[in-house]
Amino acid sequence: MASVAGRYQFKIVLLGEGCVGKTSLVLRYCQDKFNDKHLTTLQASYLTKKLNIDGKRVGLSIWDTAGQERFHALGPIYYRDSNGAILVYDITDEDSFQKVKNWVKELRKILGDDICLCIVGNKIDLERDRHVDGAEAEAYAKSVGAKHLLASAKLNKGVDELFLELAKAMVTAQDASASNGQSSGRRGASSRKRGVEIVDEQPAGQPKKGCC
Amino acid sequence: EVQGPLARVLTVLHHWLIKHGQDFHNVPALQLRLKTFIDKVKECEKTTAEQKRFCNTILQTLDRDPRRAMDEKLFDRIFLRQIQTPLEPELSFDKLSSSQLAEQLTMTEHLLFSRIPSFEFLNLSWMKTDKEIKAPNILKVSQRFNEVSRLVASEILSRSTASSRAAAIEKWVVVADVCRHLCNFNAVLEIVSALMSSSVFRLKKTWEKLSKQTKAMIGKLQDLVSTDGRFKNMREALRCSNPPCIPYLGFYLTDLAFIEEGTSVKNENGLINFSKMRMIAQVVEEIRQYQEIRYNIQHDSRVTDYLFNQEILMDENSLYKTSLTWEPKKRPSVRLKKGDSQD
Repeated sequence: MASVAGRYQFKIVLLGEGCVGKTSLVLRYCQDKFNDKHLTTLQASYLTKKLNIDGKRVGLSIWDTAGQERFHALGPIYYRDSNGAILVYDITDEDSFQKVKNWVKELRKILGDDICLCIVGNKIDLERDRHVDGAEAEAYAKSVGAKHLLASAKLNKGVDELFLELAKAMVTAQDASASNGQSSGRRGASSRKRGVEIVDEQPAGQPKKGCC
Repeated sequence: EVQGPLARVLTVLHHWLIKHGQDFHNVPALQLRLKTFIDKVKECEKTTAEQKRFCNTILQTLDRDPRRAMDEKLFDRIFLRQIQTPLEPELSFDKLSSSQLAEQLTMTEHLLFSRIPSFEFLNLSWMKTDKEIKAPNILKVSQRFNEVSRLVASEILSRSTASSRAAAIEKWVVVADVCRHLCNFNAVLEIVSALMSSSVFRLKKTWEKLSKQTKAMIGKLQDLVSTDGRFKNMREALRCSNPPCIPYLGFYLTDLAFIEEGTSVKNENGLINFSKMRMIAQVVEEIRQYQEIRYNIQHDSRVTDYLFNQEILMDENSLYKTSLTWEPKKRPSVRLKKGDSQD
């Protein structure tokens, strides 16, 4: 993604099981709640948000696969040209955390270190029903080079923070790859979209040092 | 007296039965309750002769199951086939024509799609823990979606040379293009997904062998099923085509998920939020239109035996391993760090 004149444009995919509340998170973030009039526009485009990080203008387009979780085969089409992924689990549902691990594996396999990951434990308003060990989740995120944050879409807690953290990480990653002289075009959406163009792969596996 | 509460209740029930008969035909308990109610009404002294006649009309409508017996038989034959006979050699991917494959994919997928009763689309039932009970038919559509995508990838990766894999890709692309002409957008997406999957997409040597035309065609198909703007290209193509069509069910499911989670059931005055209900109804109604108009394609059991053959299918891991065997990863020395493994 080119950063023309200090502008950054990032694509973020939102992944997670059906009932973890990822749609509520993104709806909270983008317009707190959308009314009926919004819906037609919603159907016409993904959700977008503009940020200003240390004077840098950052545009986010957020892709939510809500409802399509069972169409596993579709995954690569969604995340192939994305810069960041938000992987949401429900802190009361151990299974949803295991699913996050699968997503991480898949994303690293396809995108290597080219993608910034943010793992989010949602529904902290239900802390007393917690089934996912906080320290374990934290350690896991660290081991795969991902950020780990907690949020509650219901209480509107931690929502802005998680998108901001991820945006910062993506800016840092892009600046780093630009200064390394790596062509930023290889992670550009427009070049990746054409599947016939092949990019060299990077070793996957568990990166010691993720971009986040 | 024809008017009055009872007449109105009967009118509503009759209307419900005519418009949404599947609610009753799929739920025996509801059917029984309706029958019991009608019987009670008929026995009641106050019921007029005209109302009794109306009751009989309702019962007759209830007995007419709109599901076509032929379709049920066909469904069982194709989807519930238990016999695992080895395929005849002439029923291989190479021997079957692209149009045969595309047509039978379309016929079977529409059969599956048209069986989803509308109530499975309500209350995000396919995302809940009891989804197997509440939305079995939606789940079947997504299962089959993944299966076909895996079939495409397996067929490509079962070949040991780059040129034979390229030939398999070329053929699937032709199948996808025929599906596009048949307005089976679901299958186009299944095939494109397989080409974009981690195991197929990374086969650099294979992709180099593809002709310019095939590459251009893939680009065109990718545009058609692009996820941009919530599948705006596919929605547009769908709007412009004459049914029968098979839309990709997933984008409707996302619309429903957004409507359900983004708007409340009651408005600020504590009354039912009818605009939400209307939005849901609009989505369900659009799906129904595509469900009702059928393809005129004859079942060819030779082809469906191939399309449903489980023996060919590889799972995700074997697909990726096979992919690495045919075209091993280059290890870029600069980025290689201790602890990096090859898989």
